[in-house]
Amino acid sequence: MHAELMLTLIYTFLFGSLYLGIALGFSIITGVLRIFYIAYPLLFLIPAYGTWMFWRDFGMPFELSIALSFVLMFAASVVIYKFVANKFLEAEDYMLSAFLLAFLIVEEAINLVYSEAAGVYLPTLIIPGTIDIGPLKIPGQYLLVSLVSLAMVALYVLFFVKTKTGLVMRAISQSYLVSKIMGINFDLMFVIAMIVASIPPGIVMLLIAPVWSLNPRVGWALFTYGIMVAVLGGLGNLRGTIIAAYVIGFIYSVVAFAFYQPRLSGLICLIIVVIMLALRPRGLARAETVW
Amino acid sequence: MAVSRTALIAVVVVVIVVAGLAAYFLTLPPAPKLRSVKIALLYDPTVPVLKGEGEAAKVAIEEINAAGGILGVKVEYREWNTMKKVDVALAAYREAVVDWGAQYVLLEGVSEEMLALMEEGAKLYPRYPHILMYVGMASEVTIKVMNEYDKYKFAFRMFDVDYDANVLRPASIFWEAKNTIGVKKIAILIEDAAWTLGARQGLRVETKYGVIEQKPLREIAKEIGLEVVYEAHFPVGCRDFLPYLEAAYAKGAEYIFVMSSWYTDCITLTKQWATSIARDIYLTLYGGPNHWTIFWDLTGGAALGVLSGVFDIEDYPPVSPYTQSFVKKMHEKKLRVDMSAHYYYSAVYHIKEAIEYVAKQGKDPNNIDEVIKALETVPCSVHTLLPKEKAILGSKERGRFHSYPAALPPLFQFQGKDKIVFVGYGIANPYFKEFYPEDFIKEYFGTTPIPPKKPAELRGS
Repeated sequence: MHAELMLTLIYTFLFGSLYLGIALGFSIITGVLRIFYIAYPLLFLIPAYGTWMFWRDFGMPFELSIALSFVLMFAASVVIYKFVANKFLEAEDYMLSAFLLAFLIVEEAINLVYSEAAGVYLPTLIIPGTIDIGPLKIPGQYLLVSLVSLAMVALYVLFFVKTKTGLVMRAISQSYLVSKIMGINFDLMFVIAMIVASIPPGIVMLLIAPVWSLNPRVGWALFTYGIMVAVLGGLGNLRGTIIAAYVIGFIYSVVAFAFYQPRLSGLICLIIVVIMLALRPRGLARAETVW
Repeated sequence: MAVSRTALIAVVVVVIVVAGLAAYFLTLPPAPKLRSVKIALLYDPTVPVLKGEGEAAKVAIEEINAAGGILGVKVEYREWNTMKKVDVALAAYREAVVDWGAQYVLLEGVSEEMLALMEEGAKLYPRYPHILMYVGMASEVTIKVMNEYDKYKFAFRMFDVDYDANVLRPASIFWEAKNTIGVKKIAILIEDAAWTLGARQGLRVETKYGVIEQKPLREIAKEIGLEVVYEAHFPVGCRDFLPYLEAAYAKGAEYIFVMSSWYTDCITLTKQWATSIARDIYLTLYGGPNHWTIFWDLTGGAALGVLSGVFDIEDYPPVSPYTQSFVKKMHEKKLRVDMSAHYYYSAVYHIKEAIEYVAKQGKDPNNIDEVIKALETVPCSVHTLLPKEKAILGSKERGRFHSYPAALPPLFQFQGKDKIVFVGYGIANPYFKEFYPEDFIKEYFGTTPIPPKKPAELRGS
């Protein structure tokens, strides 16, 4: 029982941090722009396949390819903001449809050019094998992803708390109308928010790729974790996102490692999320601002 | 010179007989000529695996045409995108058979498509005789043909039946694990899909030709002398295999056998295995992209040590003279070869041989009923995975009617990039031996397998 408990705790940390990294950008966009950004899965696909494209098809150095793929992702975020989010800000149903279509177009294009048989693989495995923690051996790359996710959260919290831009974004997320009256440059702030929010999913994707399947459909699969965490935490609130990520990580780990029922983990997580939402419809951390 | 009366009568009789025979043969209608051979290829070219299989059939058609066609007639083909959907496949099937006049339809897709097409085909067949072929799992396809032959005789499942896929070939792998590697404790992970039902729960099906029974994998492993310390059934599309791998390790497994064909699952599982506590445990993958040599790249080298059937190797044991050339041609087209691709390629040659057999018998090669009978009788002499003596579709044993018997099960190990080593063929296992005796297999496998290495040994740690 001791071993199962240790495993549960360790994997609560690993999975919780991973889910947090996945959901971080989504929470920021939802919190600042107050939109349900259903094109979010793009932010996993573009860095991964962009890196591969620059590296293998254009023959650029790997590190430069990563940098360029992020530039590509920022450009995509700006384009989506300008031509979708900004255009349909007052018509949410159209905006959601347009986001979904934008995502599907990119996904299909990637599937066409880099189908699974193309053998896309990113050599971003930094810690191969396992790391000993007491009697346990835990996957090294998972630990790395967890630590990087936590570091990103810390940086983003500092950004929102300590910088002027962060303060403005919090103000926008608290009251859109009042911020407008105060003369805030929405366009600029929203563009910055979109760019800032696109970084965490990109980094998580690059680091998780060596221990997950990398295929054109992986974006949506990762996004489902992001939605679950963000909704449970309270849409657009980072505190709630942090709590929810570890709650879901804990539930998943208890079912999978303490009771050896990994098959039931996802289902039980979803049921508990629904029950929690019935009790607290606005999520675990009810708040009016992103932080 | 006087001619005896007897001799005269004999001469007259001979003349009459010769004249009679000449008259008979001269008035006979000419032997029927083959009018056309139209093959419809129904698959989804946007799915890489299915595209490879459709292309495999095209390679065979191109080869046959380059060599003069079938009985001098060039093979025509057309392709339809089924989008892997039953309704789309049905529409394509009708168009192929009714509008285009296809006599042969090769379907690649999910078993639900095949079952739907069989129902439609049963209605079409009286007016539009044709043959429908499918490579894949679905015992119902075979059982329907066995139990209602007149209705479904046009349907062929050009693959192993469930008994062979779920019992014979895994048994061969288990036998290797115990006797070649020397493991005692095994973990079995099975994808929770329709095609693995027999492996998970066992099967008992009654047919007109007797009862087909198969035990679940855990029972087969036990019979071979392995202790099954952990068994789990994971969902299709599973993303987190770490709990399963941790459990296998915690229960003391020395060998993990995975029965899955889902593309992404096999890749994810392998990547997670390589970075998990279970990475020193032997890992055998039964189906999936590990059939391809490119699996090494797909996993970024995490496949180091993985055991699997690999059908994409250019120097694959030359079961027929076409085996290696087929793989090379596919690679030239930048396509990968899995087990099914071999079967689609071979199916076209089997059609050719059946048509030629009908003509050789002096019968009408356009008569689909005759071609069906020929397919049940004539082995495919150039099947790329099955020895010619075994590439038959007429056996009724273990429900193999209109299906092939299990292919030889060579096992390979990924020991490095471009280093895939032949590590076993399980010839002595009690299941496989029943129809592939040792001498027989040695004829087809020139090299002796080298036992697999431990994953830790390959990593050099």
